[in-house]
Amino acid sequence: MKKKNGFILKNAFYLSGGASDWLIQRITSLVLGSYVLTLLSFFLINQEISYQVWTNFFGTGFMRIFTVLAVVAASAHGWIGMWAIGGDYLQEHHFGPIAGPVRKSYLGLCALLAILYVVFVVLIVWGN
Amino acid sequence: MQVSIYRYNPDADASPYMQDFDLEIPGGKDLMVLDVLELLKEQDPSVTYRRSCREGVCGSDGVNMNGKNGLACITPLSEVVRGRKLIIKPLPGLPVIRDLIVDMEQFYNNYERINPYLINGDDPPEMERLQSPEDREKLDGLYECILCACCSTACPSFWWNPDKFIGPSGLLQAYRFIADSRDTATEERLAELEDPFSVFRCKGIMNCVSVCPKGLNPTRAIGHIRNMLLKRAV
Repeated sequence: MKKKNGFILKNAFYLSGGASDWLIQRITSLVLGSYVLTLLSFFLINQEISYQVWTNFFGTGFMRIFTVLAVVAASAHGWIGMWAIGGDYLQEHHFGPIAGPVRKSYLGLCALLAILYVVFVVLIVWGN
Repeated sequence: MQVSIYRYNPDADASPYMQDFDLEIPGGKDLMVLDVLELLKEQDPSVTYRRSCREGVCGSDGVNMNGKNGLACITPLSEVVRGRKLIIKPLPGLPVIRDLIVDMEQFYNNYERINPYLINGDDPPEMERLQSPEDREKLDGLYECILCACCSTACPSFWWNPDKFIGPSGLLQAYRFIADSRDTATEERLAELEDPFSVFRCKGIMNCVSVCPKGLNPTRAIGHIRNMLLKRAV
């Protein structure tokens, strides 16, 4: 693999090969799809949603765990996708010699957002 | 008919430009695009392109015709011309050497990476390595690739990462040897493809299938390799 600007794009999670990223994206899609279906079912069953109905629903242990699982899945899924987009579009022929720093900054921002999403959702769901 | 051709001579031109020609098609025939190029070359001998067999076997005259890659020698005008205008450009995604001629080095480097030859560590037989008709059938739709580069240069994943993503042509050839019952290096071949770019950068866009002048399906071959890599990983 050719080294560019001292920054080599490896796989999104630095775990193993491309298979791990591919599998993580598919598994997280299933988690997110299930979560969306659960929410849709909730909205269909409860025609009138009050604060009490909403908090009762998200207050159950199942929904708390499922919500955290969903946001972890969204972050992981989003991170792999954003990493791939960065690898495609933030290159030397677009940005010249500053492509390496641009890509690093972009990936850093994406990673920060992915982590913050998880932190905030955990605080919201498990906080008082 | 108006024919617009991409022109670029790095020794003389500061940048590429399009040159228009008005061309009378003799007898109103449905010529091949290569015939049109030959007629243009009679008008302007400096028009430069590759050609050899003129029957879709050598893969030399891959060009972009009205936005779609193909072999000029087997593409009739009736298939590509819209509104009596034909725009011919070099294959996208590779450096232009001159006019319609591109530098294929990256494409061949990627082909070289997949070790495009039979690997068999067993002692060579006296006559030849035999193969059942069923095993031979598995190579249909794979061995016919003529390396014209129409598919790889139509692939956005190859445009963005030509030095890391092998591209549809190379991967079709990779599967041609993985699927060959006489080849014993399947594990080594897969190990060289397991990184996130070589195979997994394929997003299933299928431009390769759309443009292949031999009617091959690189996306299907890539899918087979990906499934083998996934089975190997879990």
